[in-house]
Amino acid sequence: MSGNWSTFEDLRSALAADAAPVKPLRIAPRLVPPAVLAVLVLATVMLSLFGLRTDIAQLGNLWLFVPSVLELAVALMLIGVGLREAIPGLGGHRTMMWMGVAIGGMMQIVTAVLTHWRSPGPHVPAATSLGAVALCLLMELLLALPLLVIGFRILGQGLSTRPVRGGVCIGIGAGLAADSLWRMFCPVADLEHVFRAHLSSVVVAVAIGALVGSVWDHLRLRAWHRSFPGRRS
Amino acid sequence: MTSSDAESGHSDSVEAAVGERAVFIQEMLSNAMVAYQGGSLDAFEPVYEHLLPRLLRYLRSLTLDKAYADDLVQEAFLQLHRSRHTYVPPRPVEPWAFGIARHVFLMDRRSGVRRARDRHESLSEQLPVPSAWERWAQRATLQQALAEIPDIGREPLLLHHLWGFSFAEIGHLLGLRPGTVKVRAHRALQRLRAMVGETP
Repeated sequence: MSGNWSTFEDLRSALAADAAPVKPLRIAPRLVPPAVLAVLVLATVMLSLFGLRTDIAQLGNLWLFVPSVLELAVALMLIGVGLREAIPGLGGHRTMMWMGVAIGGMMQIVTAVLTHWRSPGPHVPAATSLGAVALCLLMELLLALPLLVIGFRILGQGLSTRPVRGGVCIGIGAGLAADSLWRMFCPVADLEHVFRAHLSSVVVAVAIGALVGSVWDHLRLRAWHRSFPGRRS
Repeated sequence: MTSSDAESGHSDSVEAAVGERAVFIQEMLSNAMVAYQGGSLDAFEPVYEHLLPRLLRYLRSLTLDKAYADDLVQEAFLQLHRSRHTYVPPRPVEPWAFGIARHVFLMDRRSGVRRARDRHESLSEQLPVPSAWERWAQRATLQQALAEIPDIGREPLLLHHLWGFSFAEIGHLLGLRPGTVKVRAHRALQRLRAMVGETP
């Protein structure tokens, strides 16, 4: 659709085919309800499959749930920061993006250290085996997947000028949210295991977010080129 | 009351009137956008009339090519229409619209479509100049000096001094920290003034 509009009437004719009412893209109402619902559903599934972590008696309900709720809240905030990229003229700067990654990483580390301090448990050599690390890494990435999908769906509903930055923030948020869930079920508090498996999954989630943002940017650039052919000499 | 007091008072009242008018325009645009999002194309007319000259000048300052900018502004309004749901009231309309125009410019430039430039067209003539600067030098001189300033300084300079965006708004638009925007705009202004022989 292209044209030469010297007056509003000319433009109006071009736009008349698509003039249906639209709802403003408000991030919080589109993010929080489905994200919380996804977390609750996943928690229910994890509970039925694995049961809560075996050291819950020593850890206590307070140390089990409060850090996870805090992690989840920070995770949703980080995704929200990334989704500002969906609103033209409202995006963030690169330092903000890296600050988000640092905050997410520190949150995971502090939670792990405090949980270990509260319930150190015996060192379990098997917990640092490649199989155990891979299992936890995979579980956290699976748990991150719904929030990655929700985040990118909202980003796609907007007009992002910097989708990679948005993707990185969505990735760190989804990774942290997944950690907030999985730490309630993973029976190992051993710090070596947590840093190898759980922290690594957060890093991988960031990389996935950046990759999805990059691929998406590339695809829409190609679509842009195809959609405006023959305009130039 | 001395004459300088009278002048100062007059200047204050002019500034206040300009500020009130800016607020009025902003509210008008925001209300029009809400109606536009509700399905009324007619409500978009005042938004279009207000944005068209500004977006055109902005795109000319980015492209330094009148015909290219004219082309891009058409696409910008198409994209603006497709993305009308991304405007979130009661935020200011102009930063949002400039964000879309900039997106259109960057996508077009990145898509690698090369355009034959009219060799007889002067690049600097496309650059807008705030009228307040014309006390330093003639318009053509200012335009030539602006053309020599790198994009990374010229864009924040014009966004702030010509279109009145705050450093925070420019930061959101360009993906930079407000402090970085302020420094770049300041350095560009210093350089411009030095080039036209204007001592601060």
